[in-house]
Amino acid sequence: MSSNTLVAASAKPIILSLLLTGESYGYQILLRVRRVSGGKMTWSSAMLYPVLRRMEKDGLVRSEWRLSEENRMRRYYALTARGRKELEAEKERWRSIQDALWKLWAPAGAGD
Amino acid sequence: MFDLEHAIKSWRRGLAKSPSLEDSYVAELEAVLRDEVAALVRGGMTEEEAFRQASVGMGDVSAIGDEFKKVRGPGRTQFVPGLVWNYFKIVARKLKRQKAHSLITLIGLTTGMAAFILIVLYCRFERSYDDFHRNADRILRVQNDRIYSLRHDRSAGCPPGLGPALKEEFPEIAEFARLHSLGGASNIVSRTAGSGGASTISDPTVAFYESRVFFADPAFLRIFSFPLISGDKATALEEPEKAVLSESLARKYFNDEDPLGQTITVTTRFGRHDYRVSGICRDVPPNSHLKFDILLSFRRLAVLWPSTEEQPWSSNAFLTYLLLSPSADRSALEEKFPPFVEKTSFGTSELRREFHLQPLRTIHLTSRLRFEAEANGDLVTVRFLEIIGLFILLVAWVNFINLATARSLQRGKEVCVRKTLGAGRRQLTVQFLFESVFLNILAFLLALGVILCVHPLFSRLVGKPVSPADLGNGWVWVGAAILGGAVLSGVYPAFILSSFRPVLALRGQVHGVLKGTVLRKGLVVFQFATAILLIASTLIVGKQLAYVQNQDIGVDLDRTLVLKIPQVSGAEQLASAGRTQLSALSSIGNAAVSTSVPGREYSNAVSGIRRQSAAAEEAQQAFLIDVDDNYFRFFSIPLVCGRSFSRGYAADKEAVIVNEEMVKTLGFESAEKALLQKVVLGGFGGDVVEVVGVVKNYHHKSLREKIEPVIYMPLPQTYFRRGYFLSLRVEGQSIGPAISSIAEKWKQIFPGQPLEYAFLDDEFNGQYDADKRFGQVFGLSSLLAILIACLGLFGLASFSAERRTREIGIRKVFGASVPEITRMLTGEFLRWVLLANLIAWPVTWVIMSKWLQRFAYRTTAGLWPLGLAALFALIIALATVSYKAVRSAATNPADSIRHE
Repeated sequence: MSSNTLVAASAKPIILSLLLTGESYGYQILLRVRRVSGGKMTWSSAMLYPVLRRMEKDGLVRSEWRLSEENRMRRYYALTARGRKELEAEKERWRSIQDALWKLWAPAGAGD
Repeated sequence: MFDLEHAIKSWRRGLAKSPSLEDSYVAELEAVLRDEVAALVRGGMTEEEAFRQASVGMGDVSAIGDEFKKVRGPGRTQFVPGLVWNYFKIVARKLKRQKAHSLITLIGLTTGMAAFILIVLYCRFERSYDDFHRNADRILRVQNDRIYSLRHDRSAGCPPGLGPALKEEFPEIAEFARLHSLGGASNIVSRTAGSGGASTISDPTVAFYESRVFFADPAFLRIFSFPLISGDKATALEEPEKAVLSESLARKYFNDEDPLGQTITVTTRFGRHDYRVSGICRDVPPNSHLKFDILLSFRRLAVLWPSTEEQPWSSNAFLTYLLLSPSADRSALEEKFPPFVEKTSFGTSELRREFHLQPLRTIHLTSRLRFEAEANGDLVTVRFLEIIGLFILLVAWVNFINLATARSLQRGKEVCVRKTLGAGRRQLTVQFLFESVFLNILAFLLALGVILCVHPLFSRLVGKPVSPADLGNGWVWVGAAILGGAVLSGVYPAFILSSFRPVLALRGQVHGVLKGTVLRKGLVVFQFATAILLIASTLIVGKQLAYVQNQDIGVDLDRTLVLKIPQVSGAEQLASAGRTQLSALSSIGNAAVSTSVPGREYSNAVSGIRRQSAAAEEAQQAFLIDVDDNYFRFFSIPLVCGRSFSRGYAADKEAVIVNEEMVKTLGFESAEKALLQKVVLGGFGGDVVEVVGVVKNYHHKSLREKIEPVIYMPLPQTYFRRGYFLSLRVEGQSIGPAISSIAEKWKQIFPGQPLEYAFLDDEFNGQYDADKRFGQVFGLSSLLAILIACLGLFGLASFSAERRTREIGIRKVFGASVPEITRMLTGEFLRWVLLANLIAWPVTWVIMSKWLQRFAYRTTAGLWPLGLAALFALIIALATVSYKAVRSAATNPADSIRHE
């Protein structure tokens, strides 16, 4: 993945989407991002945690320290109601961008 | 051997150094690291390899910190509580190392604050008059205006019928109370041992003159909040023979006995009467415009002076207070007065009446009527002082700003070291603000100490019992104001200091930053303008006081002793006997009896005075004094024409002597023309008298007041029974023996009566006490202001000399002499002081001309006080600056060039 700004812009919808399926912790999020992108997106924790922190501040996610099965403390993140709503809005935004790009990149003559 | 825990610990320590990472972030990052390591180990790596790869993957520590910083958003001030201790240390070190500078700063601030708070205490006291009455908002005093063709007389004294008539007419008046003062007259209060029995005149055990004696309506105690310690408020003044005493007066006469029900004897101009003590009230607070020690039942007065009921509109000698009902409105009530006056028709053809209402709380500071219960304060003076206090405080802060910025040269390097080590500008601003607030608080505490020490002295200076305890929650305001000022005065230096750029400043180029000194120069000019204004004003006040005291008042008060004649029966004859017997003493040169002496109130005023040939509409008002045949000779008041009274003239019964002002008021062309003319005393039942002499005008009262028209009547008194004064001229050198021989004779003539005497010149000049105090407060304030201004100037001069050390060195190498360099360094400051003069002069002129107008007889503001103030400021400034300038000019150039 190339552009930094694109990474930054997409971080929020990606995290929201991942959490939609259930709560998760930092390292798992990193792994799942890598997996779902087929290894093309590799986030660093230095990037992830500040984003999570801001999302928590904005009330999109909430977090909680809990003991994991491996008997280590982990901070688990879950979606809030506002987070769900925000995800819907994000989806809408990304879809319109996607539509526009699709149209632009379609073979000449098709549609306008 | 690789230890994973150890490796993670040191990795964590590395993270913790970054200021933007909080502990919880670090913990979370650590969790990720551990997960990654575990995953890699599961994939077959050794712990060491797994840690290496994972920690590299986590990224650089500082990069992590930076990422977090981005999220926190830019520009949030970091107040790092851990640094407060460091700030303290820096301030303490600064105080210790820069003793002179710190001392100057602290003295300036402390002096300014102490002066400000003292002035606030005084002004607050003046403004607090009569606040303590529960009904203060509803209590009004009636102002009685009598308007003649040429004169508008405003008096607090009303006719006795007014109170009852108003209450009858206007339902919104809930209560009224009349007070009749027996002050000024010589009332003797005595108490006979073994009370309960009838007192005997000859043997009172305790006897004193009391001046704060009033006849008061029973409602008085209900309207005002003068709490009774014992006795019943409702009935204390109901019956004619009852009296209420103040706590301390009761102690004076009864010591520890219970005064309630005991008898006191009060000798007034109405004679000698017994009263039963029916109540003891707490002493009247000093911030009451009305102060009394004894209240006598008004019902007794009605018996003693029947005309209060028979002629309810005859005399204007009754303070009349009204209590409005809660819903009533003062101005609405006042508007109903003119029709009421019309209806009641107490106006006469020569006189129109108006009644006004004064809210109780405004009386002390704004009322200046005739017949006031006591000499009132003055709102203008209070405002004046408030402004001065504020100015002194401002000057002190200006000083603080100047000194703090001037010091920035030294602080420059500190700032830069802090900046290079990562302190942000905001953090530095916080630090410097902390410093100035700290210094201000320190100064404030010192000022409190100063106030605690000097407030008794200050009270004596202003003549009012001023105490820090009285301010109450006003302290919150003072504290808030001072804290606000501390922050404001700290902002500018903090801003300047924190703006230094490390690269330039470390090279020693702080000056560039300090070039914008316009503000500081402006501040110095402001300081000096204030100081000059205060000095010049002090000089003008002094000049006016000297003027009034050195003015020829037209009467000889030298070595004059005045005795009050007790108002016992036959006082007239006794006074005459006293005159004869006392003037026979070798130490007494001359003696005269009169009902008033210079410096005292006139004995009486009478209206309806006109030439016999003039129409009733032309009638005027005049003041009366009853004098014996020796009065004019005694006081060296020259006759313009005619003759003085004489015991030889039987016709003197209808004769009067008038002053030149009276001649003018009556409309005679000259004194000679007035001679042997008949004058009608309308106010005294239309009696006709003949002018047998005209005396030169003299100042009977202070020079604040105009010379009034006066009629001198021959003794014995025809119309009233006023107290008598016996004036004695002491001969020879020693006053002491004279007084003891007088006391000796006194006992024979007035057995058992207290002897009270005063020196007339002291008494007369006592009228200027308030002005003198004003002058002293002014003088002190200006002294403080100039002291603070000089401290500031000294600081600035040091700064300026220091800044130019190298320049001075180079100039000296090229042949400049010490005087030349001194001149160069002082020239700049002198220009500022000159500018300050230009600003201060016109302001002083305007303000002081206004103040002078309060005197009927006054000097001009004049130029010399302004010039002298300017000269004084210049000399002080020069002395301050040149001390520093000479020192730096005399420095060896080798040393100064090496500087920096």
